[in-house]
Amino acid sequence: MAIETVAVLTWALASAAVRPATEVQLLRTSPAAFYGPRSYMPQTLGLTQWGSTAEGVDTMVQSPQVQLVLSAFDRVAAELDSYVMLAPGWDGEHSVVPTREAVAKAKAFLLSLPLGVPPPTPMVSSNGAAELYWDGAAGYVDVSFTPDGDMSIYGQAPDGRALYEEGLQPDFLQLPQRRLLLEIVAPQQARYEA
Amino acid sequence: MTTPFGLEGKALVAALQGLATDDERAVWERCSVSCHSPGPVHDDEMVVRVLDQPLHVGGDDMLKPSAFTDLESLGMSVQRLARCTLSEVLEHSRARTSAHRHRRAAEGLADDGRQPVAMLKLKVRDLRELHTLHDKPPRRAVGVYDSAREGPAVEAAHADVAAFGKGAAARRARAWIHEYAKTALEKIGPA
Repeated sequence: MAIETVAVLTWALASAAVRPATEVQLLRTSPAAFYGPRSYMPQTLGLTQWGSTAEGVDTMVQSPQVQLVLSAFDRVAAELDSYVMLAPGWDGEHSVVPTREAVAKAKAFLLSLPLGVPPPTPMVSSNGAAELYWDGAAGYVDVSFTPDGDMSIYGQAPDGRALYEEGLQPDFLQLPQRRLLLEIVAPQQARYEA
Repeated sequence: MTTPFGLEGKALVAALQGLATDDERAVWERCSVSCHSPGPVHDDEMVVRVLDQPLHVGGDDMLKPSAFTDLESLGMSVQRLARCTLSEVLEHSRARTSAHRHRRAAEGLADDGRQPVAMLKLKVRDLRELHTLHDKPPRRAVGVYDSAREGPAVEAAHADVAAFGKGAAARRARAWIHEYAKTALEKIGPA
């Protein structure tokens, strides 16, 4: 199993340990978004025994390993949701509260991430942006949603390659430079795709 | 050429972004901004950034890039340790967040937990030369500007760190300063 996958599952296991089992599995409610592109499934999680048929995928989604990963994504979504509860001035005199639109788009983007991409870390900025980021040995990527719902993305790889795009739709599959993004946030996935 | 006299925070960042070249932005780093100013910020000075919003520090004391978003819009406030003491900075931050929480309580709002939680001590030269840590840097990332305020030493020691551009340049500046600062995070305990 890939090192990244082990890390994700370990983190998810730790997260799940402190959460009630009855919490709604957010991503399970959107199987179409969850399944995403079949080519990303399920080998990148090292779960090859299920194969790539629809039945195999369904079985895999119900597996304990995948459910734990989903729990990790739920935690990210829950933190994003909490940002709209902030009060004006939460981070100083001029700070702005993220709008429901910004958070909804951030969550839509989260839902669009293909399996094999580890959960990003959520963050909130004083300008009212709801954001997600990855920061690891393979590089850095942040995705920002302004209070108007405008999405932009910035990324950099250790070798100096960088990307910046704005005016995007919150759908991973629609992003330009997906290849570079995958190399940064899910290098195992990128190798599989190649 | 114009000077940044009297500018700080949001107004300073907007004025910087209105300048045509990075050379002009660099020239402003060598200007004083007010009659209360102790002088321009020198390369060999240390500045301290106090984080008083716990949301910018994740689990396992992980510094989030959101701590630096002000670089692009409001200017990132820091204090010059050559012009005031660290204890003065921390006391000032505690007083400010305490006033904020009392104000919220008076308005019947829930306590939002703002208090100094961590700090970053940063060398001005490192900030001004962030771009040299990367291959083929397209341009400088940030400038460090004297933006002294009237008041006690901690106010006169105020400085702003500002991105040298908007959009991609500002996001690059945020990522670079996060990369540089994330290992410098020091937790602040209760007073």
